[in-house]
Amino acid sequence: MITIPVYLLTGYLGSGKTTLLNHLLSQSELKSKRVALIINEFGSLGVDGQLIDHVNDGIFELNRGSLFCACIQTDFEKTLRRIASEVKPELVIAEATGIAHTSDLYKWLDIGADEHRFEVRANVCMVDFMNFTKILPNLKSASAQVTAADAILINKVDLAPCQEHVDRLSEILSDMNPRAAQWRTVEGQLKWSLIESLEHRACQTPPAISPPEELASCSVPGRFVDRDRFYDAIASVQGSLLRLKGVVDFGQGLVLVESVFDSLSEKTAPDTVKRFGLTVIGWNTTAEHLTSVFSKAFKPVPPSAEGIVSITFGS
Amino acid sequence: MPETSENIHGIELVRAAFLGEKTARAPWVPFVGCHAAALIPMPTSDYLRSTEAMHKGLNLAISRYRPDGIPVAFDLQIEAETLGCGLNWAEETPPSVSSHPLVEGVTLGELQVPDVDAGRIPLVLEVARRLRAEHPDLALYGLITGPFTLALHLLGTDIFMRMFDDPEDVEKLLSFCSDVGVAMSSYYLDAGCDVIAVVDPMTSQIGPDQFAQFVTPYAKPVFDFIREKDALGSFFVCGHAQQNVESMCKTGAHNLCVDENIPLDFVRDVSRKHHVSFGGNLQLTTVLLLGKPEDAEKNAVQCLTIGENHGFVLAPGCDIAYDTPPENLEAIGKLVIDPYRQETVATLAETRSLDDIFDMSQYGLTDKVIVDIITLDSEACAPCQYMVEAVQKITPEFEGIVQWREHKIKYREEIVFMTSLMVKNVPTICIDGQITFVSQIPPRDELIAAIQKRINQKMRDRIQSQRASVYVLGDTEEACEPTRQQVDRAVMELGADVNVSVVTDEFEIRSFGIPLSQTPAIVTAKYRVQSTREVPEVAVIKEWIKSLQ
Repeated sequence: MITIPVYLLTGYLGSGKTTLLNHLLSQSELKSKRVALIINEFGSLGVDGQLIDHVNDGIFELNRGSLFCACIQTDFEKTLRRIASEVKPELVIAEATGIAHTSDLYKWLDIGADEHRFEVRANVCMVDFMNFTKILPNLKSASAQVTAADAILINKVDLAPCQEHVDRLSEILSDMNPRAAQWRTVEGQLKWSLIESLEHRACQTPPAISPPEELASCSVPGRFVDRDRFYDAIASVQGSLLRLKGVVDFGQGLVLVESVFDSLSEKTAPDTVKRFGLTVIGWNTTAEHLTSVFSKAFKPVPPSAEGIVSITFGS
Repeated sequence: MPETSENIHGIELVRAAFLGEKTARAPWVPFVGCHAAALIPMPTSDYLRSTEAMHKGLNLAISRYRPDGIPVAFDLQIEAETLGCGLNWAEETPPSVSSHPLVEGVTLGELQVPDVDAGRIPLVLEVARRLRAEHPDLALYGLITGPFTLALHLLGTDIFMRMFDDPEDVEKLLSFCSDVGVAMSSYYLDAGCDVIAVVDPMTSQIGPDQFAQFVTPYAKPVFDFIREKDALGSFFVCGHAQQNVESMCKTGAHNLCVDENIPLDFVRDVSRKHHVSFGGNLQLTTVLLLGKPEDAEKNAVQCLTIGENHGFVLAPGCDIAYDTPPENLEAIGKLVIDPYRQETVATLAETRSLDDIFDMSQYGLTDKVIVDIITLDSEACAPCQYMVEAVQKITPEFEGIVQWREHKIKYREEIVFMTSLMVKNVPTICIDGQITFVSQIPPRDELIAAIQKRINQKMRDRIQSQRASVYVLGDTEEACEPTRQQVDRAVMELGADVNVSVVTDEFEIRSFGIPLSQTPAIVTAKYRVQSTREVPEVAVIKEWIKSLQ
């Protein structure tokens, strides 16, 4: 039985996996090794062709129209068999954007192929500083990938307005996965030796069917907002606000307000906007609390919960 | 023939199941998409672009798998392609989308609902029309890309960010995708399809709240349209979508179909609560692709048991893999119309961990011919009863040489017996431990001939087991030679199977009780094989010895 180590690289599209992968492949430790890459076609990963030609034994694309479904397992297993029988690489890097839940990947890798056995050595999840909190309520796999990772790479930290925001994101990621190492990078600049030194611990949790319990999100419809009360609301949820977005009128016409954590920006809204109100995402709070706090900013204040549409996650 | 529902039209069964009714049996709808290309065989990339190939491949699948319904095509990229998505073609899978027009400068306003002649739409519609004409009783499924999955094709995974940043824009896009779904449904229905399956696998990636906001309002108009046309609608989803099953029930679909990632009993319970029928969830890889026909049968029985022939369609969860062994699907095709086979498979599955398997190596060495009939129970199973009667009637003609026994596999020890004989089907006739007639009731003459053949075989075996030797004894080879030549001639003229040995060793000659002075001499000896590969009881050996005296 020959064991082929597998390094899983997960993360939402746009988090910087391509850049990271190209950077890793250019490092001498990997250049000297026979590497096979499994990539997911849907991820449109643009790996540098020259690097592949030079140092690798091939890219295996999982070319499947219907993603996330059981049928991709077939392709995945066929790919493993091909890699085991034809390539016999020293290691495999599998880019796992949206292929499936990570626990499925573990299961599929466990099956092995012929006299070869695949063994996950590390699972690294890449998180894009700018977009992670935005995606979290909408994409199940975003939280599932973080939860299963041995290390979380917070990328694009140079785009953060301040160090404190990166620390806030880091705390949230620790809440979601306390056992994972965390690294901060700019443009995926990471040494392969760091990944290689990771100790893999399979996370045997069942596939997530909802966003993390700590996450709360709500929408409060309405057009006219009192600026002071709005800022009061922001201040009162300061520690738990992840994102806020909406189109409202503070008295001088429609504006688009947006916040990343508690840093707020405001600009004139396009004329075409027909829906007014606020969407708020919070951490370690409840949808009811957020709804109640931000409802008070509207003029007139809606009576109790009437007229309020709230969307709740995991509360 | 057993009392099965083999003659019920597939479309009637599918319709009844979709409407949540109890059915004589569950309809069987193998989702043969790219797998039909393997039956021809040809690459999927050619198959999905050829009316002739699809028509041929699906007809092969229909004749081999005996389905009650079948999809015309399982390709979620047909609409995307007409709307400007780039495709990557593959040999053994459907194509995948490689570029998304809405992130490459195209605006939603520039996109038009595809007309009936766009891209590969006329190709699949022609396949539908041909199948309709040739198979009027088969339920034809037209598969359309669900609005959320089509939106992902057009916008890419940016959609998950836009759901926060610009939900209004996402909703406009989904509304357009819903219009595309209505148009596609109308094309397929006009071409003769009975069922429209809205296939929306990407919805497995979102939660129930987003489903309510971004899926239900856009799937519902499609199902409303299908209902207006008095057709049937199914919502297909694959992946870990358990969280959305309840929401899916509220889309207006008649039926939900899921893959192996969601427990089927969960789907049954939720969908029944909402008066929606359900289908699924044969395992695509571990069973259908990598398993054997027995595995496929077992998995099918598990699904059928949960489905309870009540508003249930037996189907895999998704497109059947290209190189799935056809015999696995054939086995399911036969199983669904054979309730006895289902019962057998279910019973065997319960006792698969049997460790006490009999050693059958000595079976059939008795003087009589033993006919074993493995049945479910001849009193409860018509084919079993006919088989037992057939054997019962002819045994008197053999005047006691043939003995028959029925083994009802409702008893544990009989299952052990059945497994030991490696019998897999019920009813089966074994003659002296050899599987001879499987499932079919043998005509009288064939049964008599088979038993007679065994009797003749036994006679031959008996003669062969009584081997004999002729020993020529003498003090030298030369001294024995004239005698040996005479013996050889006698053996040759008789055509006898006798060993001839020359013995010249003095001690050995004496062991025959003959002094050297009496040579040349001839001794004959006859042997009979009494036992092999066992240690017989002393009492038994004594009986053999007595027969020598």
